[in-house]
Amino acid sequence: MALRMWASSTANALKISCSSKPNVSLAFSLSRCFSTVLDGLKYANSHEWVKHEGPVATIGITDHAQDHLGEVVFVELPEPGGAVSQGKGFGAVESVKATSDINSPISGEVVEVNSKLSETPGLINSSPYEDGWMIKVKPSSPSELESLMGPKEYTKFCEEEDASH
Amino acid sequence: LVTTASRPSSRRCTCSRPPLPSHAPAPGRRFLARRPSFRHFPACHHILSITAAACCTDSCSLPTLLQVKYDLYGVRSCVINALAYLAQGKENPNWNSGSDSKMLIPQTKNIGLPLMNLMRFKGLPILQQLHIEEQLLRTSSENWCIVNDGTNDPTIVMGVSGKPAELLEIESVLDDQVPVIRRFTGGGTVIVDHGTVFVTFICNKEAVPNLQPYPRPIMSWSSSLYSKVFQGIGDFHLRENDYVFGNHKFGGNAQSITKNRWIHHTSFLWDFNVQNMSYLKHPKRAPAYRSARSHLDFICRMKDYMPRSTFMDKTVEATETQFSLRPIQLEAIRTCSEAEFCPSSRFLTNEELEAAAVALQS
Repeated sequence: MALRMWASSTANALKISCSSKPNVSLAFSLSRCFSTVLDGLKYANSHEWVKHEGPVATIGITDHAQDHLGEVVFVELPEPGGAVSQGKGFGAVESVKATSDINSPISGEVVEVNSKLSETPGLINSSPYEDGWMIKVKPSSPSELESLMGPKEYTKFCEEEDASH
Repeated sequence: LVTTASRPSSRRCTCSRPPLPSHAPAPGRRFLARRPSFRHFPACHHILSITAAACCTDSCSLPTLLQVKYDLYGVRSCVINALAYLAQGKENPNWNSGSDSKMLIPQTKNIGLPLMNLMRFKGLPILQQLHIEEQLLRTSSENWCIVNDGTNDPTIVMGVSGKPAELLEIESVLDDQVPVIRRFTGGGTVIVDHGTVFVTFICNKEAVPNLQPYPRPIMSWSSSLYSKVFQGIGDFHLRENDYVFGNHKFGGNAQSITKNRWIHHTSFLWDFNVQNMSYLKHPKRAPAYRSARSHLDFICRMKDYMPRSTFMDKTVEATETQFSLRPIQLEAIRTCSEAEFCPSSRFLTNEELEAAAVALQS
């Protein structure tokens, strides 16, 4: 367990340092047992990420979350035009025997929903930061992003969470 | 405990809450004044922590035995007030609202264990059970264990994403008017009846120490609890999210996980009607250990391993090793109103089932 934690920290540090562009897809991974954390994103303590680009923010769940949830078999998402609130649930994923709420890291209006997830929910597992994005939101309070964690802070948060259990 | 013959102390409670209108020795009198109606007793949140020096003579708390000398009349007042609180706890429905005072009895029995409310039913309709569970998951901040000994009518219960056309022999279901429910948790499809025993745990994410609120850790925790129930019986273990004896399934699990809470519920096949299995198709997503076996070759009856009441009693006993259980009646839960919470588990309509059958054929 200690070796895994050390390796995870090292791998995450390496990934952060080489992933300076948020649009670079992260194909490389030492092992699927390490969680990926991308630079340029903000993270919630309920393991969702948000990428703010201009007037739109894209939201999904992190590699840490999909790894702990298991194979995703069903995704429930809101309709475009609906509202999301920071910290409140906007949808759910089903993995194996469990439904798990997805909470929005920011407040705003849903402008687009990833329709591919209805046919291919496994994209959340295989590409949590790219093809597995869930909703795009027009933020109503951009200052909410400042309350979220950066990559290094989130990495440490995940390590501490895993170590304490 | 040392008593003196001195007059009642005039020391006041040193906590921030105002003194309670409780029993106290009448000044200058050697016998106790009339006790006020206990309906006027507000909840006392510091009954276990306050010192006798602060509260003994004019408030409700039991004295801390190792501290301070007490006046005899003050001690009698404390005892009477404490008894009034214990009585209040059994009668006052407000004690279900989350006040600390209702924890007095369980805390003294199992100090240190988190509190869990226990509700036991017999033959509660499964949809009502699901509604209660979802309401408690979403609106309660307490831990709950629900045991339902059988349900009234045979009912098919699908998981949140279940597709009737893939999972059910729809024509037979419609011909025989078997009710079909889509529940709020994940997982597969079961047909339940009076031979099914249901056990549910609804917990705050901190309730079980060192347990991460994700499907696999919760499943693992539940199997360790049931390992105590089935110790030495039938080669019990958790196999790919099912409870099995050997490689025969007798218990199916499902979960729902929110930001701060989770539910894990299980339907146990204490007995089942062979005919009912014919309503269910072989699912596309099946565990590997099923090895393409038919329903009847895959499942087994718990009645062949353990008496029904023994199972339920042992489950409660196993739960008591981790939680301080408090029996709660259904009436103590606030009823659901549309303004507060609407559960999502529901019956599928005949129209929905017929549409699914038509879509399958086309």
